[in-house]
Amino acid sequence: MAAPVVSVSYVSTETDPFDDERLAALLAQSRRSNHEHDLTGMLLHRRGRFFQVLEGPQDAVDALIAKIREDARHHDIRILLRENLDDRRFDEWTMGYEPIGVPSTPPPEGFRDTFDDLESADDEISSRAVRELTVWFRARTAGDR
Amino acid sequence: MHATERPGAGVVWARVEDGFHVGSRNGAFLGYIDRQADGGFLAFDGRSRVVGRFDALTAAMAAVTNGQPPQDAEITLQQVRVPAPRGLGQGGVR
Repeated sequence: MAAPVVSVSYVSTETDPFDDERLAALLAQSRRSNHEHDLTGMLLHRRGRFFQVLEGPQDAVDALIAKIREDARHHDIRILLRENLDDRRFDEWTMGYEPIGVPSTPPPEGFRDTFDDLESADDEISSRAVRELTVWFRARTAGDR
Repeated sequence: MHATERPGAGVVWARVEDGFHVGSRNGAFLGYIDRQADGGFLAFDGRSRVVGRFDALTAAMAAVTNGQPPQDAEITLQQVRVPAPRGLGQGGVR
């Protein structure tokens, strides 16, 4: 029987600014480590904040989250969503990354802003924002797979 | 007895980035809209299948909200418009 897969999504704040070079190094390190531990997921970096989804065997995910909490490169870590999955959502990504733009205009009338919702104290709202980002990532990378 | 809901009732729309919008209802993913370089809007259903290309964002939202069938879906009999028989109905046959 296959080991159950869990997914953990979190946000955090960079301690010092990450430029492209630092981000590339972080991704390379993360992909090497995730490959060794059968972990997959995605990372976004926007306005000094990180959003990451990690998925894989429960023990491996929990061990990495514990390590992430000790990582001085970021702080204010907040777990947004923890789920049990039948199938991975990022099974082809040891750590997928896509640059995301910062909108220059307000959202259309009546629309919510996903990144505002991600910071919401309401779990239902922040969980929905996690799913919206997952949809965005999969759409943006659909041609890359 | 259930109250009749309007098609757009309970739908939450969110902007992820400029031109990329995701629709949900009661926590379930309905579909998304991606603005194209030419200004048109491609609408996708909950399985990420294209349901249509629209000039207006509102039209794309309606397609996602109303569960418009994907463009590559098989056409069902219910979707085929049967012309009214000759001589029947107001206005007759042109």
